[in-house]
Amino acid sequence: MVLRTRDGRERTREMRVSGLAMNGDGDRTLIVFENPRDLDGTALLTFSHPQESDDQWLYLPSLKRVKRIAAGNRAGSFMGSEFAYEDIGSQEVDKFTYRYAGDETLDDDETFVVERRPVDSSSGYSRQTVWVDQEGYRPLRIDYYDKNGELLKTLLFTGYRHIAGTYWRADQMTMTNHQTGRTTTLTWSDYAFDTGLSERDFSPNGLARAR
Amino acid sequence: MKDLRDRYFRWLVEHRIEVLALNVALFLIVAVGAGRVPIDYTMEQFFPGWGPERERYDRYKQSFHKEDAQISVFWKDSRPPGVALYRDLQQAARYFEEAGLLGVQWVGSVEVAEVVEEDGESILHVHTLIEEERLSDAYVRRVLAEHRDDDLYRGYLWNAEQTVFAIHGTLDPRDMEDDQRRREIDETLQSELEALAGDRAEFALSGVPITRSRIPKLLDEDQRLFVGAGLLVFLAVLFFFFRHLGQVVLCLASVVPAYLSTVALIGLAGKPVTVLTGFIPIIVLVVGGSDIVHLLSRYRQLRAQQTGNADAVVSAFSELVTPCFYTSLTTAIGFLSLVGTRIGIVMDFGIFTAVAIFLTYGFSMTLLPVLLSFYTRRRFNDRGLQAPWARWIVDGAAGLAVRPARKVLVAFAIVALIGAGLGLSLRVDSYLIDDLKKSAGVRRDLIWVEENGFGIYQVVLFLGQTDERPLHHPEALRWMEGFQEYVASEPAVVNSFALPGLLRQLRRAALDGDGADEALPATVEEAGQLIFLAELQDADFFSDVYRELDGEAQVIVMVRDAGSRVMLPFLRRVDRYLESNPPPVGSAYSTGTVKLIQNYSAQVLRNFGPSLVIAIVLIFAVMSFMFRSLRHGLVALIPNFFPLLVLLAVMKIAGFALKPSTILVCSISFGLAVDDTIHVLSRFRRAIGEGMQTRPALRTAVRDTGPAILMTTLIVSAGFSLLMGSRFEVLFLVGFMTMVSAITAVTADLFVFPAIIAAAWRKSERRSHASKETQEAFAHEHRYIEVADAAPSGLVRRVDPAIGGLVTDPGPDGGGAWTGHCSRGRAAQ
Repeated sequence: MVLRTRDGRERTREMRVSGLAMNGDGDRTLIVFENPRDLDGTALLTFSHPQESDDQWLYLPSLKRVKRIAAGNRAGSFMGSEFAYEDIGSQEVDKFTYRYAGDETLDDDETFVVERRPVDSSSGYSRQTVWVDQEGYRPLRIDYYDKNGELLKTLLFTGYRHIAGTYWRADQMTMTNHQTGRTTTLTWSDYAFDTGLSERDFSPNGLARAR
Repeated sequence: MKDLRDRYFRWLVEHRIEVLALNVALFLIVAVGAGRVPIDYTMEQFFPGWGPERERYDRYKQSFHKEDAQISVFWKDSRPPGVALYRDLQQAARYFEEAGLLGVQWVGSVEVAEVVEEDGESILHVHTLIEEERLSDAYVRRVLAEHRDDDLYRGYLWNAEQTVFAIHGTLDPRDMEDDQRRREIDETLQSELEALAGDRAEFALSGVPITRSRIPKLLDEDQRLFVGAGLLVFLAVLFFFFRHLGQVVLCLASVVPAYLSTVALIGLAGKPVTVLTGFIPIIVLVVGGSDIVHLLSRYRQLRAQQTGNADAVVSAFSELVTPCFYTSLTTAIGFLSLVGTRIGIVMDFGIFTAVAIFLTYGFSMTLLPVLLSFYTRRRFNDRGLQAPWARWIVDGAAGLAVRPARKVLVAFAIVALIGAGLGLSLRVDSYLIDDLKKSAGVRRDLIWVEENGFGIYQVVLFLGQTDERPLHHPEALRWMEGFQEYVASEPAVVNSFALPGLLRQLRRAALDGDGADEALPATVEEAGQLIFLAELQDADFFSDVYRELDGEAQVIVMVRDAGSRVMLPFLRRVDRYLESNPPPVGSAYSTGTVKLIQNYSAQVLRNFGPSLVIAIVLIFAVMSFMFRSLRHGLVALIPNFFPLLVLLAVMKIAGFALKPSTILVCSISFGLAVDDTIHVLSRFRRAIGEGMQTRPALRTAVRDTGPAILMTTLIVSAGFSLLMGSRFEVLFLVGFMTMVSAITAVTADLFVFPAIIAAAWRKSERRSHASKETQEAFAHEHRYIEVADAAPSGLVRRVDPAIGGLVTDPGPDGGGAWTGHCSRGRAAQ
């Protein structure tokens, strides 16, 4: 993850992300940080829920403690980036209401334009506009509008790859904050699916061993 | 030269219709131009325009913009803390949000990291200090009691006794430069909070944006009221002396076009009319008015002596065009010396006032003779000019001028020494908003806030990352905390905030509140992880003090407006501390509005001596050039120290401190005092040139210029004394100091100056040093024999026109008390 300020300064964060899709509940996500050095080994476990607040645990290697943390501010920045937790967390269908806004061509791609509004009032957005390509139903672009209805950020997905013949994943996600001029680019690599992870690997008690 | 001047003024009189039409056209053009120049009364203009301090401050502001953007309400409720008080604070906070303020902080919004037990599991919870869902009187009291002495909140959210609670909000950066928007927010909040407080609470809405919103408004109101009233008094005094409405209006005829032309020039230079340039009308009225009074007085004297109107106009203006030029030049030099302050708004004020003074001079020498040429009256009502008290003063001064000077000089020396002694011991002190009287609302509120244990101003330490080590490195944290401990004992400091305090709180929470772990994070990893932990729940948890991505941090030190005597040494100690204890990680410097303003004040005070010396040297050079004699230039300078020294002494006795505003007035007072000296010396030299002895020449100079000098003094004193009613100390001082200065200047010019001249003037100089100019005047001026009317004894009634030259009146005792002069060819009656 590369964070850029308006004047071009950059900071890089590196992390390993694992996910487990659950039946009847939201996904479970484990993020283990590798860089910057002071966060090396820090692990964040999130149990996403469609309606209720997410559960989160954090392992702090320096204190050798796992802390359960209360539901945070979903609108808050993720690690100082332009992504909010709600932007990178599980995009559960039930978290929004939807309105089809028409078809559009976006960079030679035919897309459906969908306007969605968050159900949770603690969301940092009033609405989002999503461009989904008509061929593979992949999101190509999301515009985020702040509580005052003004355009806040734009997320662009590029470099989609079809992995294991089943999953479409973007290589890069670039979020631009129009109000601050900052950008954050999330570059994904080494995707692996069906690796045999189980619920045991997404347990708070196992966080200390996540590295 | 004399011919040239005569020809110029005669040409003006002969072409008066064309000149008048041209002036009217010019007036209309500049009036339209002036009407389009914007008015900008914002206070940011007082910041030094450039220099390393300003660059550092601007750099800091790019990262942390809250420093001078915070608006706060301090709420003192008659009820003990509980739900009712919480609800009122909540409503007030809502008003803040509705007004568009960002990041509103109060006991119901500030977040705290704590461990809570839930279902047998300890959960780290970042939550608001007082949680809405747990609200009860007992809960509110318990939370407040638990955190009462917490350094993060005491002095910020409540005072030590928890009797006053604060709500803070930050002005949207887009509104920072919008004076109108600030005023709207201020007025809206004030009225809403007043309604909310009712009889049960008192509050003060404060903060730098509030101060910046209210001061220009108050200043604008006071300026309109007192400058307007000053103008009326000016005109009334003028009428009292001249007893002629037309001539009173004439005084405005030069001043108004000059001011409008100046405003138009301000607009052409792409600048607005500021809180300082708004004072130009009253300054040009006084400065320009003084010359106009001399011109009109001389014109009336000549008219009274049977001179034809056109000739009287030409003679009066031709005679005074040079002295008036020099009085304008010396005054302009005084104002131009303000360029040395390096404060944009003050520099503009100095430059444009100098321009206005010269424009007034230009209009006085163009429009005024033309308008006077339309007069047909020969005699004017002189009861004002010849008022018994005025005559008594002038005659007294004239009488003193012919007596031995030693006693006067000794008295002068004693007063000057006392003045210098008191002046040197004058207290140097300036407050951030001390240009307001303590009784004025904004300052009263600030004092109330400070008395209740808060500070609204900040001195900040800005830290930047310089290598791979982040600013949350333990060594950096320890260093920041060491600095906080260092400043804690300073009398001006209320409290301080920085990253270490927040990390301590977090660490305590992360370790389940284990009392043994009050320490700072031991490793950079620990600190980084704690920061990550907090930002998971609130991305802005550290944003007021730390911006990890940008590698920037600040230590905020809240201070009282303790005055420069306390603040400047404190700021110096801070800088010395930074020099001797540089941060082990990154770099650090101190900055903030407080430092900028205090350094500006110190800079102005430091420059006061050199600026005054430069102004004095320049004025000395001008006067030496005018009189073609270094000696006379020096002689003319001496009496002008008298008002300055008396002024400093009076300031000391009245308890005023030396600060930028008083220094400004000192410079202006000095420039104004010089004017009368030039008129006296100029008339004296003319008399010498006409062949008079030193003492009679002094007496003539005093008698001829005395009434006009008295009149201008009365005008200046009466007009400016009204400003003493202003809510602004700076306006009060302008009124008070100018009045003191004007009265002492007239004393010096009429009573002391002749004694100095008498002592300094060598007999051999009587003729040989008379300038070419005065010789010329001698040859051409006196086409009329004035002696009959002017001789004090009244014995000389007729003079043989064939005699010309010197005519001595034997005086009542036959001692030759008065000497006059007549030229050949014209007869007196």
